[in-house]
Amino acid sequence: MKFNRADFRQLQASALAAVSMIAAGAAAVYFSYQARESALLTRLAAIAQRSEANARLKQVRAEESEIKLKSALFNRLQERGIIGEEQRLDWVELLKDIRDHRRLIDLRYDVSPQRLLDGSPVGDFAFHASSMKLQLKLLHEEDLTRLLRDLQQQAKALIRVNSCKVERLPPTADERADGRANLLADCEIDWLTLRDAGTK
Amino acid sequence: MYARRLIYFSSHQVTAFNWQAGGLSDEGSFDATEAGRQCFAKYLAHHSKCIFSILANVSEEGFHIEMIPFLRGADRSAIIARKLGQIFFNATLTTSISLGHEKSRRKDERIMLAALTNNELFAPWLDALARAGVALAGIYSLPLLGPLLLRKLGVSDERCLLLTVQDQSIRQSYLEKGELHFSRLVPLQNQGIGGIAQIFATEARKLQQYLVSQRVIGRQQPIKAYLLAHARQTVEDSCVDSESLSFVIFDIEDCAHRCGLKALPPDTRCEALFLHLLATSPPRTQFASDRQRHDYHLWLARSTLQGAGAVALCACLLWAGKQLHFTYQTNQEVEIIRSEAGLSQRRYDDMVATFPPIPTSNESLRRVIDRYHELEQGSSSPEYLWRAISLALRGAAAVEIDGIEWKAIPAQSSRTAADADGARRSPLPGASETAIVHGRLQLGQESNPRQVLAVFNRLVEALKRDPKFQVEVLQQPFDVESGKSLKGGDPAVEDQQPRSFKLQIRRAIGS
Repeated sequence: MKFNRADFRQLQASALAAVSMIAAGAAAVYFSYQARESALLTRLAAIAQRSEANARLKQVRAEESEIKLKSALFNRLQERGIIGEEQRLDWVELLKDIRDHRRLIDLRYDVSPQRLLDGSPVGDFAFHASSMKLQLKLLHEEDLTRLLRDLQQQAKALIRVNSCKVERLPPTADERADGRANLLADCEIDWLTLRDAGTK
Repeated sequence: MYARRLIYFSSHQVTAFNWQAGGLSDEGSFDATEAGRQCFAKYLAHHSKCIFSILANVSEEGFHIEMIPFLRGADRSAIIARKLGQIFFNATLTTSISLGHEKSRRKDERIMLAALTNNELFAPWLDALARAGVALAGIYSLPLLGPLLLRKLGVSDERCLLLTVQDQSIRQSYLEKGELHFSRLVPLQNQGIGGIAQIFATEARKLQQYLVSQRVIGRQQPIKAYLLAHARQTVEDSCVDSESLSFVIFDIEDCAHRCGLKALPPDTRCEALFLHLLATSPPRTQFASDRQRHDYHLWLARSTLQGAGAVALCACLLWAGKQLHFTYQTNQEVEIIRSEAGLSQRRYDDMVATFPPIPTSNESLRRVIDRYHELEQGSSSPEYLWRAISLALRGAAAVEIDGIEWKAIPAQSSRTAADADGARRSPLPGASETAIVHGRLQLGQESNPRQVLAVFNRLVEALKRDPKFQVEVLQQPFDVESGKSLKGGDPAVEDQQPRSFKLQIRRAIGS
């Protein structure tokens, strides 16, 4: 069985048909393989998504009471004014009220510009601090402890006392200008507030 | 699917059959005349895409058994071609059948050389086929289908005769070990079953005697003659067994059943039976040359190419189908997984909905509140240390405090501060507070340094009673340590001066 050139021309159509069928088959194999691989990847992604959702659900179940407590505290802090913009006017009014109520002598303060406390935000929020230098004369050391207690209880910020220096005033009557004060107190206090990290 | 046509070729006419769905249908007979050949040419023109096979039943044929050396490949083909040329000089339709090898050391091969010797008889018809360009699968000789027929009928005799009736002749064949060794054709004058039965009996005996004369079989060697006939009883009456020849008559309808024919032959003629065998099990041996079968080979090549392509396509489609089925199952699985994830997400959302509303995520909330607690616990007031100092001063009237420097040290700087203060103080874990107390001791004119130090030490001991405190003397009322200089003067003047001291008290916040 020998074929010449004319015979090969007659075989061209069949060869073309065979090649076309093989190509069609190969294309079907290729696309089905691609579809299979794509489906496998989708399945992996879905499994990861399910694992993540299950883990989150498991975690929230385990921490349900903790999150509720923390949410409540968060809301209390928000209501008190610790979370949000600084309320410096309220601070000034509070200091005046305490001075009047506790009859404090010669109360002076100097609040510095606000600064970021930790250098970087904590979650979606950032703690900010405003340092205040406080100076006042005391009849008794209790005047200072009451002042600090009032601030910690009533201020629209978390009060952090950094330092306090108490010195005895000169005992002679001439050196006592106001005639009542025995002690001089110098304190440095931070007013800490919490603010959305996205807010400038 | 290609169409197959079978041509029954006899000396006086050619009959065309269509082989379709396992059945034969007669499409026309063409006499061996010019008019018949023209009709045949028209017939071929109408069926030029069909595959044709010719079954020849002619008397002009020859069978010759030869021994050739044990050879293979081209050498064997060459020697067979040479012998065919020698024996059937000028015959174009020739073939050979291997009858096996001798068991001697040389292993010579027995071959039967066969030829359709009347070229002129075939030539016009084969020319018509060639002109029509139809694919000729092969030219087969009817006696060469005899062994196949006997195998179908379950005959396994070592030697036997086979007699069949076709068109206007009786075909007589001698078979040995299942292979054809000799065949001849006798014209049939009387078409009646009685005449056929007589001719069967006579011709079988003549063939047996001829084989004896040729020493193919022994003189007294019994042999069976198998006859295919329609009216069995009539044939049995005419064909009487002798010592050396016995008759076995097969009913032609029974034979047709055994061979799988759908339409039973109406009479004793066996053309349909042999054509059916040719269509279903064509023998390997045929007479057409490669040139005559050229179009068939082209068709085979085309079919092979298309078949290979189709097989590849089917295999690919099957594999692709399997992959797609797997993909479908995987997608179903993905849907289930997604619905499970969605369910978990809904449960999570439902649970989170019960929490107080907050403008942040749970994770952020946790970090913010934890940090808040840290700051709150780290913040302190001087009140605690002041009270402790106040308690220690009870009963120590000679001690007078000039000032207290209180300082809170955050957790991260507590260790640093301790390191800066020196290695003698152990660092406190976490946030701490310190108070540096400045004071004086004044015991009066009668006091001496030993008494002053005793009062001071009692103060220090009173502070140290609280285990949370680390108390350190920064300045003694009297520096009596060996490493420091000691100065003095008039005792009366010195004893009246108050003695200054400095203490440091440290405590971990929250302890």
